[in-house]
Amino acid sequence: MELGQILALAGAACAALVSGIGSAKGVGMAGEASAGVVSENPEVFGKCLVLQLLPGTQGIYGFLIAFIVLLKTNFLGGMVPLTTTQGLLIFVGCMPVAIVGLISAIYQGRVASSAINMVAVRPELSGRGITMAVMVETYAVFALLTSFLMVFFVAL
Amino acid sequence: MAIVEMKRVTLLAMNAERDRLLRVMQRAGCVQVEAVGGEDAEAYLRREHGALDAAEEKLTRIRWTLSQLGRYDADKPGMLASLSMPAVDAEQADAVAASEEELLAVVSAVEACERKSGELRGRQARLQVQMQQLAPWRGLDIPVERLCDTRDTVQFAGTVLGRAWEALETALAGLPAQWERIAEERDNVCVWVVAHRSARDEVQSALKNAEFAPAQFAYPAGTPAAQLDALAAGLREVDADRASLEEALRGYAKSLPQLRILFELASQERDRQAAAANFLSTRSAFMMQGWAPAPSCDALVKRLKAVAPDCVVDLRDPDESEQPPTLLHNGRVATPFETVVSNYSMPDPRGIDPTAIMAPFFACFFGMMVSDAGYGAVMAAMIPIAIWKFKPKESMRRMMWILTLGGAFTVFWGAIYDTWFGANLKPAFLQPVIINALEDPLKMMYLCIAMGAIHLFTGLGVGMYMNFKRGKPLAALFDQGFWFFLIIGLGLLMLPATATIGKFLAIGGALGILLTAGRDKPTLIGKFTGGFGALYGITSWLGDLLSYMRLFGMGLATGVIGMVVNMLAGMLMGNPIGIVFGIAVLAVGHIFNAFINVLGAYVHSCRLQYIEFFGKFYEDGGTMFAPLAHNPRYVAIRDSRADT
Repeated sequence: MELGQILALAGAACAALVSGIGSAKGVGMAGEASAGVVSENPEVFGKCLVLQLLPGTQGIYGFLIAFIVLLKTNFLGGMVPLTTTQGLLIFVGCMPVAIVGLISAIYQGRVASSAINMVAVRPELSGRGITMAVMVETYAVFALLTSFLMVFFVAL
Repeated sequence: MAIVEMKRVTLLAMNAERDRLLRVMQRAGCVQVEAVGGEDAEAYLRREHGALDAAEEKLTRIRWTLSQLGRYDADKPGMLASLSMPAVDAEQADAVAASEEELLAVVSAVEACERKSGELRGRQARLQVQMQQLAPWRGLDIPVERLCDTRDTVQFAGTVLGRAWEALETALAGLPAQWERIAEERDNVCVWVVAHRSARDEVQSALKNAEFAPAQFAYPAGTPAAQLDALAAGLREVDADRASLEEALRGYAKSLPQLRILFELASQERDRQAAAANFLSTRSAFMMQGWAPAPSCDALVKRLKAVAPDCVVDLRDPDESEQPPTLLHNGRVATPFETVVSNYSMPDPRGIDPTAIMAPFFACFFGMMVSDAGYGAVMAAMIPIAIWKFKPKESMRRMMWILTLGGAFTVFWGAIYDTWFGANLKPAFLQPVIINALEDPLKMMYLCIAMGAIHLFTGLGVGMYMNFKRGKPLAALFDQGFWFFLIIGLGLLMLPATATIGKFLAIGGALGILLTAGRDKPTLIGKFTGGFGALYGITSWLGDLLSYMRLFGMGLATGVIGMVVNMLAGMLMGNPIGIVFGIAVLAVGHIFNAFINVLGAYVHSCRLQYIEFFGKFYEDGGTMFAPLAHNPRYVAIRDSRADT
């Protein structure tokens, strides 16, 4: 295996791994809030479940970019040879979704936790809580797009 | 397919008929009682709420008793049977109402048992502490009443620090004293000292240097050993009392079925009193205001007049300023999806009910995300059987129907993705339409984006329809039409064949939005900045479209986990013993995979509706219609007799 191939694979791994960590933290944080709220008011479980899941999107985006990299380097069918430069380009291309995924998922988890606490007091406002949590995702989407463009159009 | 029209109901009747009318309204279950507003109303509002407080208290006591006796329930229903709500008929309920006195006596008895149980626990704790304190003194065979000073001697019994023992012995050695080391207990030593009166002060100071603490005995008389026996006897007595309490509670638990029915009756009473707290009343008459669905109003008025012919019922449409509660009404297939809508927020009563148009998209996306035809077939086949057999409660029934319809779509998408319990079967007749996610991922991704575009365009279309219905066709063109041009134009721009048409459409749409989006702003600059701001929304369109990639991700995940489960089981299946393990791995693995992915698919489908779809047209802010009705918690009471 050449260094380029290793770098490309490392990029894919980072994309999935780092954004997965972010989503896990975000969803977990929201889950803790949800457990507290549901312990006092079991009827709002459905609404809390939806809010809890919102920070999970970044993990999916990271997985997507990792998959695109695996596809592009034909990893599943015997990897194509890559120069070090190409590998590094792919690695750098994975960074936006990885890092922004990590940080935005954690912050989105905080918003989701607050929205869950809001739903405890005013269940009818769950829609607005969902909208608030989704605002944070805009930047994860931009990062996804950037990573996608960077990775997809690397000249192999 | 609609939000039910509401009418404002005002009822005026004599106080004597109030209870009968309340019962009729509760049985009809279609009136939401509201507080009457306005300053004039203040004067007539009843201040004292004695009846409501009494009803609330009775309900709390019965609920507490049910929870206390719950663990002694002889015939506890299994987990599956507890999905459904048992029912009793009116005669049984009447019998329970007649024996209310006895049942409330049972409640009081259970409360007394709880108090007694608390006392017994306290007694047990005290006895145990005393036994622990007394235990080291078992070796002292002097009755404690003789441990006092006599004519010539002084006596001490207590504990000293273990490490001070030698010093104490040395100090006492020269004095006319006799001492005995009774026992050790952790770092203390129990000592008994008897000395001649004359040496009292020296003995006392020697003891003080060793940190002497006099012993506490449980009783004022008897040897420590005898006292310990008495304490043990006391503990046995406490245990016996507790056992008899348990027996008593077990006996009371036989009344649980009737207590549950009594709970329902008390709960209905409490709801009636809570509604009545909103009435305005004088000495002889009362007035109620509320909301009722327009289709039910005539039947309601007939029922009320049948019971109280002198009452006056006034119906009118809501004013502009009033906000009636929202009640949704949909066909049989779409009704279960009302849960999805209400989990987000109820629609504004003057807005639109999205349930019917959202339902097929929900089920379709659910299917794309679960994406295994095997799981889908199991869901679509087994769940209706479960519904028919177990007759679950309403909320559970809705969820089960959603899963059934989702399961049906899952079979379809699973066939297209060629995933049958994780295996790729490649049947010949499906060959042309199969998209294998691992071999042909780009095709699957385009499919997901295309489904997303259809979803978003439908949302835009609903917004357009709402504008037309409200008589604002130009708004439909400006707010939705131009966006259609722009997005379709951009899409066509990507394909070389239609690039020029695409270019013109896109530019036309963008200009249209730029010029018209800010048309409500007062100044000319404001109009342009409004236009730019709206055009910036193109980025949110991009984000929305990319969001649909989760359909690809979740769908792929199910397939891959299923494939791995199959591989693991396959590795074990070499020999006969391995086959057993392999089957276990298959069962556990696929059930786990199905559970996780169904849960994820449900919530992500919800999220796609709430953010991407509803964001294009939905007006939220409604409140759910909450009528005065029977809301059974344990037992449903079926009463089909005429109103009295």
